[in-house]
Amino acid sequence: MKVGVVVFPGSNCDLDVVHVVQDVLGWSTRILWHTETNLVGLDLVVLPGGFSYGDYLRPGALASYSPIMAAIKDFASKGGLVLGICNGFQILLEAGMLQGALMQNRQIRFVCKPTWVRVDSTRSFLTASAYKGQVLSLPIAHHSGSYYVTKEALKGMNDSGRILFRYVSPDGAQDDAFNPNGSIEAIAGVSNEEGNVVGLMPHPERAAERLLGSEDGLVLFRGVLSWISQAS
Amino acid sequence: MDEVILEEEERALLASVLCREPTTLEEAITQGLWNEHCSYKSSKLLIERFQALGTRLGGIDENAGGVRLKDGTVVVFKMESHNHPSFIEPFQGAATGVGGILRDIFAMGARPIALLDALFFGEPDFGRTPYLASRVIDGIAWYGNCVGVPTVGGMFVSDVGYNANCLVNAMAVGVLEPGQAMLSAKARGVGNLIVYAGQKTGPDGIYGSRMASKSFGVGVEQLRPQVQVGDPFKGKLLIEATLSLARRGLALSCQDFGASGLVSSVFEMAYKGNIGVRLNLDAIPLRMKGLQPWEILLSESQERMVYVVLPENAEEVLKVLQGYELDAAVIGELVQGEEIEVFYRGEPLIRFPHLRVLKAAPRLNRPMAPPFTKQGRATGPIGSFSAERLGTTLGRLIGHPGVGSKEDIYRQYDHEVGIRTLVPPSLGPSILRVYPTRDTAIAVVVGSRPFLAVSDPRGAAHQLIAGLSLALASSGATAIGMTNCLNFGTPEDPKIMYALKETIEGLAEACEALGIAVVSGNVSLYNTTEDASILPTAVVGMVGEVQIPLEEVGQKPLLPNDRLWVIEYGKPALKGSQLNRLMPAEWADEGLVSADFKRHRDLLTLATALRADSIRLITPGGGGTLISIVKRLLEQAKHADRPLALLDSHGIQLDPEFCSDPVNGFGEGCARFVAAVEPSEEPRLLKQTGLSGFKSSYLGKVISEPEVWLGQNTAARMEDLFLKYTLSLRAFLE
Repeated sequence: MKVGVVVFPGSNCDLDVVHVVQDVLGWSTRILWHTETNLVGLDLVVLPGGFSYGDYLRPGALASYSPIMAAIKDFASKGGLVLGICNGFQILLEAGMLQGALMQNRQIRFVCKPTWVRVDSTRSFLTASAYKGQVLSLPIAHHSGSYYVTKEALKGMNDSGRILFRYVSPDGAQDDAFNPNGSIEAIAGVSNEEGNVVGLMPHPERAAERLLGSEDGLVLFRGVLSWISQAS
Repeated sequence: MDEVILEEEERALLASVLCREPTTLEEAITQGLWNEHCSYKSSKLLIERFQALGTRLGGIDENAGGVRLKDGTVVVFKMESHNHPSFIEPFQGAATGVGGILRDIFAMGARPIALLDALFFGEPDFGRTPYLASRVIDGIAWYGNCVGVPTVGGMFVSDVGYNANCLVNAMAVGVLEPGQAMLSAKARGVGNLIVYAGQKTGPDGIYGSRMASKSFGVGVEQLRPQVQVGDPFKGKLLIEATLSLARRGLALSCQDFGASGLVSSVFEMAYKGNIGVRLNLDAIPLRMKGLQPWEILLSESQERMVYVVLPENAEEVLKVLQGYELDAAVIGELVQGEEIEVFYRGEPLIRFPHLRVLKAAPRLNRPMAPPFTKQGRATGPIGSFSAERLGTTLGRLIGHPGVGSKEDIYRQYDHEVGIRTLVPPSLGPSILRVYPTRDTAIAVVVGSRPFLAVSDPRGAAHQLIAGLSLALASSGATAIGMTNCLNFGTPEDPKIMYALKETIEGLAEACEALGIAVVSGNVSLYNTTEDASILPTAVVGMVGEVQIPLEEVGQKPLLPNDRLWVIEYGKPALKGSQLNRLMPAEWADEGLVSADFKRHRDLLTLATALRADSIRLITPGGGGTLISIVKRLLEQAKHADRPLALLDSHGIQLDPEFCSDPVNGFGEGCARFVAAVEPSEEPRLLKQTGLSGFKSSYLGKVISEPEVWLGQNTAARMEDLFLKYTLSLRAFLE
């Protein structure tokens, strides 16, 4: 398994992802500066969290024009796996690789805390090892994580299993008190039609070791293996 | 630039150094070097007391200092104030405070891994207080979150003493891996080049350091142009670029631009290296045209660094910096001689004898006078608590913003980025692993005892150091080093100078006795508005090395039937406590325990041994022993995600005899901790405590009912206390 981790100016969860991929999962990694365009040999490209370009203009807006993004679009169109976490999710939306938008949290404040998310579709590489209805404990840390998409688009996404994660209570119930940012339908993560491009606001890399309080993120990373073995 | 620059006395001193009348430009530069903020002229003679203490790396002449862990890692840390800018423009003032302290850490080649903040504000119903507090917190969150360094802890005080001056102290912690060289701030090697990197220079914050060197009158808003504007994005790029240069050995020394800009960075680097400089103002990247040379020299634009590099490496250094999309340029050269020769528009502008001027910097021996001490009021016994009065007092304290939950603050900070945070901010020290793949870990905590320092600054300093070291021991860590930020009023007031001296003496004595290195520090004077000075406020940030396995650093919950024992060598006191501060008429006593360092070392040893044995320990903090236990019960029962929900809280049955003396429950000190044990473990605990020569008193036991009982009577319901605890900051942050 070979994973590319993209570093935009202002990315700050890049080393955290490298640690989990390399030291916890034992996969090899390549750090990709945002000006690179060669993705040959990679199975998965991760756009990590952070504040690319300081969130100036709009979170993810400037990074979506980085040279590497054209290469990533091409990579994805050929079936390559692309994961955007937090700011990476924002970038994928700005680049038009996923549907919807992320607005400021409804409390208009940054929020860092543990959440529970329910897996609502296993039709993506990230959820390929999880089961539908599985509740995972994953932390969030963001200022602009309130997901929005039009009603019509939402219906299509629901019908085709593109809504991957929703914020829920620890026992899996949808309840506004557990929606940390005001996302529509408490959506925490989505995929494209093919399931090979995924974006989510929670940080699976912060929940991949027992020492840090949760290993639930590993279920997601291991989905990559199931997806690839199914495809081949 | 035609206003008076130097006071008459200092102007005369400069003239005697130059052997002639100074020009206006010379005066402006000298002001940049000699002002209180940069020169520590009022405190320099006093802080020399710290010089001799402990095994320290780096230190006073460097950007920060550090201590070495057992595996060879060097932990570098420092705390700094940004009080004056934050009082004028709280968002940018606090944000640039965070940016500035981070630069001090990575200027040493250390990767910053944690931030902490000590915040002091007035009462929530006083004037601008809620605005100041919420904007300061927003500013810290904005910079820290964006730059990708977790904010893992801090403290928050609300008191009438800070109505007219808020305090914003930021601490940063960084690490150098074993064998990695520490970068110095001393410029060395004739012929080496000076490279500038970061934001372009603009006319921001000119005379900012001067602002922090005087007290405020009315109309502080007019000072806004003196507050700088931060750019955490640039800050992040500068961190990565600087660490890259350090790793590759391309930077020989390094210094950030702090107060007084180029004047303090380049001039002081050259002074410390005893070398001359040829400085070319034309090479400095500027944000706008038409800046005057003195503005370029004194600008406090943020996110700028200078590096000393070998000439043959200059090209490579510029390439690295530009690779991080930073403005970078060679702006000067180290030369033989005792002067800094500045060129502007191709012409020599000034030859400034920086070695002589800095050497002649004033060291003031300001007058000191002990405060007028009030005759100790002979208070009789304050009476014992009825269950009702105990409940009211608990409620009053736990709902106070200085005592209640800080969750509304730390939820706004990314405290996890870097995936090192093993014990997140909540109660007591936070714990971080230093590397994701190794077992080395540190515990960090900040504290202050201003309410006690008002009457006994030296005793408060003793208690502060002793108390923090005990909090670390209770978390499984050994205190190894501290940094401090000494916030005081106008140094021309002899009583304030006396309090400063007593504080420094007290901190030094305590650190010496307990073997804690003083690695760095900062003094902030003139925290005075219209003759109202703050309380003498020494903030200490302490770092400990974790001694227990990482799997065991989290605190295990208190469970029903657990028996709680107080283990101590001296009782706490109401004097200087939060309760006394809130209700001085009702809860006054003149009793005071002093820290006994010999016994304290034994207490630390005992706490360390018990913690290693998996005994649950609580070190009482602000509000006293009972408050600390109730807080622990509330924290473990609160719902991690749902606000205002308390799940299956346990309660406590307090022993009437223990509570018969209110000092026991609500006094504050440094000489005790609480141990919680199952009934079967009790004999072993008491035996071990007895053998160590400490007194233990039974405090009470945990019960499954969610209430506080005094004997058989209900004093308070946990649900009610929880609401007060959780909502304590709403008046500031809504």
